[in-house]
Amino acid sequence: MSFNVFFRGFRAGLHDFGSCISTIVNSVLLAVAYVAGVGVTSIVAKVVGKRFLDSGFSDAPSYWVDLRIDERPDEDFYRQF
Amino acid sequence: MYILGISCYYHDASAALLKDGVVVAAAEEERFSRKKHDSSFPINAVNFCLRDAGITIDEVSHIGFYEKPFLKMERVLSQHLECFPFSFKTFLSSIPSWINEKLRVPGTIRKRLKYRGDIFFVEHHLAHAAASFLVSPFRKAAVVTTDGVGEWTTTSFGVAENSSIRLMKEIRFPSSLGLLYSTVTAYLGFSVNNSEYKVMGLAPYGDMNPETNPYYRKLRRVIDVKGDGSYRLDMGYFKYHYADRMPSDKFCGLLGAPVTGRGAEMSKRHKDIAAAVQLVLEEVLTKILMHVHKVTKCDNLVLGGGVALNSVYNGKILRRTPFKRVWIQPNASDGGTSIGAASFVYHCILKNRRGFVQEHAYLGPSFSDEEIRSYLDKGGVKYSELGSDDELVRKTAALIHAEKVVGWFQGRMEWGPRALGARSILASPLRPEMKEILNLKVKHREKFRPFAPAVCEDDALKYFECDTPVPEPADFMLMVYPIRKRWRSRIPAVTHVDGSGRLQTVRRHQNPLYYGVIKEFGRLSSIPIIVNTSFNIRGEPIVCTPHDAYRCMMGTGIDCLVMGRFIVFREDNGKDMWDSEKLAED
Ligand SMILES: [Fe+2]
Repeated sequence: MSFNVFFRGFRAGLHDFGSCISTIVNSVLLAVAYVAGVGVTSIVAKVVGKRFLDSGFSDAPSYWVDLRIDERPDEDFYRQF
Repeated sequence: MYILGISCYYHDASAALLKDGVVVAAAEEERFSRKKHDSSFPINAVNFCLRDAGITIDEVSHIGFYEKPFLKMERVLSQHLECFPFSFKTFLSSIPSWINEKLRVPGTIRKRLKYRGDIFFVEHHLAHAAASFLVSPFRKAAVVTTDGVGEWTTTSFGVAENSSIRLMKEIRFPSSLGLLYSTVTAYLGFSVNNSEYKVMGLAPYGDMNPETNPYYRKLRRVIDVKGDGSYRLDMGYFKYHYADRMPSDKFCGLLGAPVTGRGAEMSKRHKDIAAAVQLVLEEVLTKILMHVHKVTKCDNLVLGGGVALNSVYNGKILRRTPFKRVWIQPNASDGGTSIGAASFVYHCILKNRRGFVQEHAYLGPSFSDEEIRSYLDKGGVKYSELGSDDELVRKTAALIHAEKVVGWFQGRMEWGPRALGARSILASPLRPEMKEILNLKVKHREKFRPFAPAVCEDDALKYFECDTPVPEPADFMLMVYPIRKRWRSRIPAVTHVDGSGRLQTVRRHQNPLYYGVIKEFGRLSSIPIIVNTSFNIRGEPIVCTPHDAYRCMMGTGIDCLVMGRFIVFREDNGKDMWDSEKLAED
């Protein structure tokens, strides 16, 4: 086996190892964010009766929601929200 | 003035270029990357648009993006907050892509395109509405958009006039007609955002009578529909708002069995379930359209969003509702929103008058005869050259009449999910076995799926029970109509089990060569109708380049390829044969 082949394999292995580590670290960080951020907010919201998604049938005459997205300044379209 | 529209990061990424309000080029990224429904940043599609117009990015004055990413992120976070802790898995899998790309759209556009001008963000359903209305033939129309989900909106309606679009009402996530249909698609063992049309094709095999179809009544339990067409889903039956799976266990319990395995044989039960969801969809859409007509008092209707690709329902609209004319963007799903975003910027933000009507879908790359010849010569491909358009038309029609399966590669590639006579496989519809031949040689698809007939617009009413005049969306294969009874047995390869056909009407000015082939086939066979199916290998996007087309022919059982002015026979080039089925994925 030439040195080049060994070196290429070594680099590929190192790259895979790096990806593995970053996946693990990212997952741990995301898990912490999920529990501490999403979880706490969600529990508090549930305690005070706040809902984030409309679901369940109701007796209201209509489910249509007003959507007047035409009446606004053009600057709004520069924004991502 | 050049304006570029971009859509990406959900499914079917695409780019479209407008020159002074006229769509001069548009294509989906999948055709270049060769990954079906590719959602990545459409760098190849953008480069194609610029190259085609002969400009650089410096000449683009504005870019329109097809959604507002932060609003969408707000909805995604709301799902996690509502569904904690059940959304943990999807949180881990989806948030990295939000951080790495979806919330960095301006940066990505500037970096990858080296663009320094204005970027506008158009709400997703507004982009759908614009993609249909602003390039439609109507001065004023009612607009209805229905898809899986945009930022929050899943269905909306409003009214559009000249250069303004006013969306008035919406239904919000998680209730979604599109996602209800996708849930049944997943339940029947098909892929979501890809195979909904298979459910539509399966439905006529089931019981289409709501009185007797047992699954219709069951599915009606998951959706509450008001008299004005507004609706809400009972989310206990679904999981898509917190998991990477569509139906919940409760949904499976309701329909009496677990999710169907991939590739399973479709039983009577499956067919009835497909029929039931089609019935529910049609019922809700009809109620919505009746209400929209009452509110807007417009006789013209434009439809946008993926649900507008439900050609079975589209063919019933003018009979079931008071609308008198209908127009649908040929790429009504998310792919088409790049045209919508760019058109919205040009007309609604920059306040330019409308003057362009999209009369055809040939907006993609084309290849000159010199380029095709050079490709064939370089590859040592054996071919023959035809002397004139007339000879090309006669030879192609004769091959189809001789029951050959013909790969047809001419002019600019189609925009949207349907092959419309630029990258098509053509065959004779006269023998019932042609369906099996096509399936055996090329398509390898489910037996229940029909093949589409292509007919010249001036012949359509003779063979099909179309609305009159034939609506323009039929040119884009977006309307299914009954085939007149006396012809059904004469064109069995394109007659669906319920006697319908998802026809493509062809007008001479749109595609003279294709029109000529259909007419010439009619002269030879006495029926001017041919089979048109998409030119692709199973699991791959429709072909784009001469290489894709040649490779597809050699990997399947297509008999010959009519590409530009050249004919290539498969049997003359046997050395290059390979078996595409070995690598096929659906
Ligand atoms: Fe959409």
